[in-house]
This record gives sequence, C-alpha cells and structure tokens, in this order.
Amino acid sequence: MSAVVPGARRALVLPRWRPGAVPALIAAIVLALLLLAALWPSLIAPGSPTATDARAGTLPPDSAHWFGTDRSGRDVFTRVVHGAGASLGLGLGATGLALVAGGLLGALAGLAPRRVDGVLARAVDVLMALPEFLVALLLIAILGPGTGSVLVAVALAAVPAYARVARVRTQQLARSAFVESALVLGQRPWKRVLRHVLPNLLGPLLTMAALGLGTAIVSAAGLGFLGLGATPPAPEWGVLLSEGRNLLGTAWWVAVFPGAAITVSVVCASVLGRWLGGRR
Amino acid sequence: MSAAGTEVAAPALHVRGLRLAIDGVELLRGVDLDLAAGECLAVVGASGSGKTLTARALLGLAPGRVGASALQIGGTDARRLGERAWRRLRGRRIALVNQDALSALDPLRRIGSEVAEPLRIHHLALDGVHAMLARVQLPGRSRSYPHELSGGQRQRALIASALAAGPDVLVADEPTTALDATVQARILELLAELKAGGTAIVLVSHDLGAVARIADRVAVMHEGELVEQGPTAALLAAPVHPAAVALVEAAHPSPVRDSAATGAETQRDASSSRPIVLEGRGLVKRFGATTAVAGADLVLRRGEVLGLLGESGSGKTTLARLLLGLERADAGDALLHGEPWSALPERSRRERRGRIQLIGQDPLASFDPRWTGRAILGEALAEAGVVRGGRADRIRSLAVDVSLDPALLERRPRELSGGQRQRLAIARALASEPDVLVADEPVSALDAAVRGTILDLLDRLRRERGLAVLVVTHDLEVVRRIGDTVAVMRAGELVEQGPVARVLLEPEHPFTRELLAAAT
Repeated sequence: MSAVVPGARRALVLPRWRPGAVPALIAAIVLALLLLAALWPSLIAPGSPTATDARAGTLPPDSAHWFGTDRSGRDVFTRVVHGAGASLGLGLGATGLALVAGGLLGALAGLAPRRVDGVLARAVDVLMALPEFLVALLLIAILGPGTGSVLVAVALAAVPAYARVARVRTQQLARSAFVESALVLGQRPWKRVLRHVLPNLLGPLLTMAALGLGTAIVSAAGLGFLGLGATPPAPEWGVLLSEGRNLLGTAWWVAVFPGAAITVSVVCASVLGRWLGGRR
Repeated sequence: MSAAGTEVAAPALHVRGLRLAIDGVELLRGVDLDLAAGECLAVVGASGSGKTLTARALLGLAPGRVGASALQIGGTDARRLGERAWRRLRGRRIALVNQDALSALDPLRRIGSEVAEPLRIHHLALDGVHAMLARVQLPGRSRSYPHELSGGQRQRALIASALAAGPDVLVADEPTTALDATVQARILELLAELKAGGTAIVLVSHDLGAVARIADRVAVMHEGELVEQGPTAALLAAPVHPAAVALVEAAHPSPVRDSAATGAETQRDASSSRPIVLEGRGLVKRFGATTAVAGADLVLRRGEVLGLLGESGSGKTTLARLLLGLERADAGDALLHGEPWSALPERSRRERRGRIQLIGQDPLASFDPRWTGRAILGEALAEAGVVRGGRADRIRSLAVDVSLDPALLERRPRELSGGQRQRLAIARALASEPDVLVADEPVSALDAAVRGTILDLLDRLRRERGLAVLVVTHDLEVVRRIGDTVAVMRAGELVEQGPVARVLLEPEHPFTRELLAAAT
C-alpha cells in the first residue's frame, strides 16, 4: 500500500537489537518453527495425522511416539504438527481479516460526517461491552458450525477493537499538520486519505494485531473445543484437546500436548507482539 | 553540614572541572563556574551546547555520571552526595526554575500549595506563602489553579515556589523563552529585584537581550565546554571565541535594522503602485464566545514582506489561516489576486491552491513522518502538475534554491536539524511557484544563528522572485530584519499598520509603544 512513492518506507520498522530482546528472539524462533509446521507439516512429521493403528492405542510418550498415541493409535505428535496449519491459520486469518475490516470501518467513521460517525462509534461501543468470545459464539449460532464460520466469527468479534483505535487515529491524522500541508498543496481528499492517512494508520494497527493474534488463536481453538469448528478426525488443536479431555485420568498426553501447543503459541505471539508494540 | 561561619565567607557556587558523560559521549568537558551572593551569571550558547545539562548538574538532576574536582554549593561539598542529601540541598540552598511553567506545575494543585511545598519538605513555617506570592506580584492568587493563570503568571508562581524556602542560589533555565515580550520584561525585572536582594542567579538562556539586562557576567558554552567568560558589557561588545562571536552577531539587530529601515523608506512611495496579491476585508472569526479575529483589513503586495506582529493568543495565527482559506470566516472576505478566495468551497479553489503556500510553525509536524525529503518534494511537484520525468531535476534545483544539500533529501525529516527542516518546508512551498508565502512563526523554534539564515533566505526569495510574504511572529526582531510593512495585532484587532520604519520609530498606538519598550 505504501510502496507507491519512492522513498516512502515501511510503516513497521524493526527495533534496534538490545540484550533485553532475548525473550522476543526466542519467541520469534518458536513461532517460526510453528509456522514451518503450519506450512509444511510433513517435513517435521512425515506420517499421516489420521492413520490409525489398533495395536498401538493409548501408548505413553516414547522414542517412537514422542507425544504418545491416542485411543485409535494415532500419533499425537503428528496430529499436533498437522494441526498447526488449521489453528495458526485460523488465528492469523481472523486477525488479518479483523485488521482490514476494523481499520477500514474505523477510518470511515473517523472521516465521516459527525452524525454517521456517531452511529458507527456507538455501535462499536455496544459491541465492545460484550466479551469477544461471547460475540464469536453468537455469530457461530447465526452462521452455523464449521471452519469458515469460526474464521468469520473470531474476526468479526475482534473488529470493534480495531475500529475504535483506527477511528481515533484517523481523526488525529486528518487534523494533523502534514495532512493540512497536503491540502495546501491542492491535493484531493481521497488522495490525502490514501497517501497520508491510511499508511500512517497501519503502524498502530499492526502493533495491535501482533498482540491480538494470541487471543484469536485461543478463541479459534476454544470454538473447536466446543465442537463448533473443524469436524473431529481433522487435527485442529481445539478438537484434539476435546478428544483428550475424557482420557485425562488414564492418558494425560492426549490432551496435554495439544494444550501446550496452544499455550506456547499464544505466549510467543504475546511476547513478540509486546516487544514490537513497545518499540520507540 | 558546615558551620555558619564558613558559610558566610563561602561563595554561592564554586565549580571546577564539571564533567558529564552519557553512553560514553562526553557532554560536559570540564566546566568551571564561580558565583557570589547577589550576582547573576548568564550561561549562553546554541542548543546542544550543554547549558541545560550544566544547570541540572548543579542540582544533582543531570542524567548519567557527573564528575567534578570541585562542586561547592553555598560551602557544602556536593560531589559525593547521595539522593537523600541532595534533597536537603534542593529548594533550601539551590532551586530551579524550569523553562516550561505549564508542565512544571501540577494542574490539580492550587498555586498556594505549590509554593508551600518546599516549605513543607524542609519543615519550615508555612506563613510565608502569601508574602512570597505578593513578592512575585501574584497577591491573593494562592487559591488559583495553574490553568487560571497566564503564561507569565505561571512563570512567576514557579519562581515563587523556587524561592519559598529561601535558597541562596536560583538556577533559571530559559525562564522567559516561552513568554511574550512584555511579559518577559516583567519576569526579568523580578529576577533583577531578587538579585538586588542577595540571591545568586544562574540564568541559562539563548536570549542575549535578556542576558544583557540582568547578568553581571556571561559564560559562553560550546560543545560542552566553557569557551569564554567575562563581564556582560565587555563580552557582548567584543567577543573573542568564534562561538561567542557567532552568538553575538546573530543577536545583533542594528546593522540589518538600519538597511531594512532605509530600504522600507525608499520603497514606501513605490509600494502603493505594486499589485495587490492578497487582501483581507473585514475578516471575523469567532470560536464559541471568544472572538479570535475582530474585523481585520489587510493588504499584501507583490515583492513585499508584511510582518503580522502580536503576542500569543492575539489571533494572528487565526488571521493567517483565514487568509489561507484553512479556516472559514464568520464575516468578511479574503481575496487572492482580487478574486474571491476564502468564500469559495475547497473544490473550486483547489486549482489555485498552488498560488498561496504555507510554512508552518512546526516544520517536523508538517511532514508525513514516513517520507524522505525527496518524496515530500516529489509529491509537492506532482500536485503542482510537474510530470514525473521532470521531477528529479526540479527536486534538485528546489533544494539548491533554499541552500539545502541535496544529499540530505534521502533522509526523513526526523533525521534533519531544525534549520534543515525549515529549508525543506520552504522548498516544498516553492514547488508550485507561488505568489504568496504565509510563514507562521518560521524561526521561533530555531537557534539565533540559524534564525538569521532562514530570514535571509525568505528575504532573498522576496527579492529574486517578487514573492509576497506574510510573516506571522511575536518577535519584533523578525519584523525589524525582513519586514517592509507591519501590522500589529492585539486581542483580535489590528491596532496599527504601516511601513516598518514608521511604525517602529514613531509608533502611534500605545500597545505598539509597549511592545517596543519591552523589546529594547
């Protein structure tokens, strides 16, 4: 979006290296590994995530099955690795969708006449009063279960937060001296918005998205756990967690490893997001 | 604690070899200072020369590691003091008056309790508060909040608070910089009174006019070193070190003033025949109940610099914005080349936007922070209708026109100095080859030396291109230096207009006289 002008630089610039950034670096490495698992699972776990083996049911972790096996003899490690795609994909997709939709809605409200802005802003306030997960559940109830519904529901539930930040920032930018300078040069309104308002909106929204990614992963997995997302044999982390729930007393590994995957990815996303947000 | 006997004999301040380094960079390299009771020492220098750091080091407030071979404050050796011991000293022996009075005062606290605070901290009787406020001419204001006071009153409240516990030494860091000329004069009078009363004052300032009025001695700082020191009159009359010479020259109005005055005198007859480019007729602007501009008539001719002079809050920026068509007038008209301008909707005047350009108060804020100088100028040229192929050459020539090294165009504004940013802003304003430049306080954020070069640049553009320039300023010196005509504004009204030479030499309105008196 910002590459149109020569000399314009990216909105998100990486901070300078400091010793305090070690946790962020570790988080980035772990996330990179998780992303690799999401994009190319068979590189890490070559087996099929749905292949059953009746003779190898509920085996505890050992050298052959690092995370053990479940009741049908499916390898939990393979299933966790292959589930990364669905879980992280849902988290990233929903966050991206929320950023774009919320950003545009907020920018629209920020630039709209007072009356339109008032309606949009109050609507956003009402939605902000409800917990995001509850809104997502309501949306699933309307849309019906399924992976696509989870994506849309998690994204729409996060839209108000992005819209609110985008609206305030847009109002500040629209009144800023450099947007006024563009007006003095004789630039048309839509061009001012495209060249000076929207690109400068991106920075704060990306920072927010980096922090919101963890929430989105948890929400998506939560809906999967409730059986509202991917259908059971598919290896989605929330689904894996719910499959292992009944075995917690006898075969803890079936639930613990998918749960750990969710926790690790959320913690890493938050650490990295916080570091990116704390720069400057 | 030293005995009372030695205290009487000891100088108020005795500093030798004051050093300060942050991240391995030496910011102060051996500063020596001496100050006796009832004496005022001015520390002057360009920004970044270390004057403020020196002031803060005297109160143990400097960041980083401070070292000195001697640091005596009223006879106390302050070299190895811990934070707790420093607190006993601050306020009681040595006090600080900060530059920005608004942010230095707690907005939720009344002035009286602000003044009483040092007394409480040092366990002194609180009955002196009212007398202290009376002494800074704020009698009976102890129950006021900071927002109810004007800038000058806030600065006086801050001084009262600094003086409450009766310190021997007062460190004032740019105490008058943010204030209007008439208010400045009153603050300086107050400082002079304090000096007469026996308080030793360290005055940190870049304003040599203020310095000349109250300082006994002047110390010139340059890159963390004290390069020259001497009695005020002698040093200002014959500075030796190049840094001191530059400071004094930049501040010296007389040679330029004479030529500008005579220039305006000879132009006076010719000026009425020049075409009018920008005209304001009965412009009125209200914000709620307050009237910012109350019926302003103004004429700007080709090749002429009009100084719009007034104190802060007088409505001069609002008037400039009305003329630019950035603010809608409640009554009256601004005409550009005799044609309607302010009354038109933005859509129909966009074509002619390039005729009248703005140079803003804060150049940094006027640039998109993501863009380099090249991109900024490129956009201005694109809006002016220059085709893509011709832009690279034009960008270069614009930079040359404003004496900005073209290599600096690869940087973003944040990475430029104040003067370079202002040059970039002027270059952008020139991209559309305008007829009128409106410069709102174009030099108030700059050092004295840089200030002169920017004013010279504006004057050159006027001469070479026949530009009409409206300079909005609170600084009489700016008008004196480049103005042909001047309009004096007060509380939304233009109280006096005319050629600079006439208005400055024979002011008619009492307010103009007051302004002139305050500035000299």
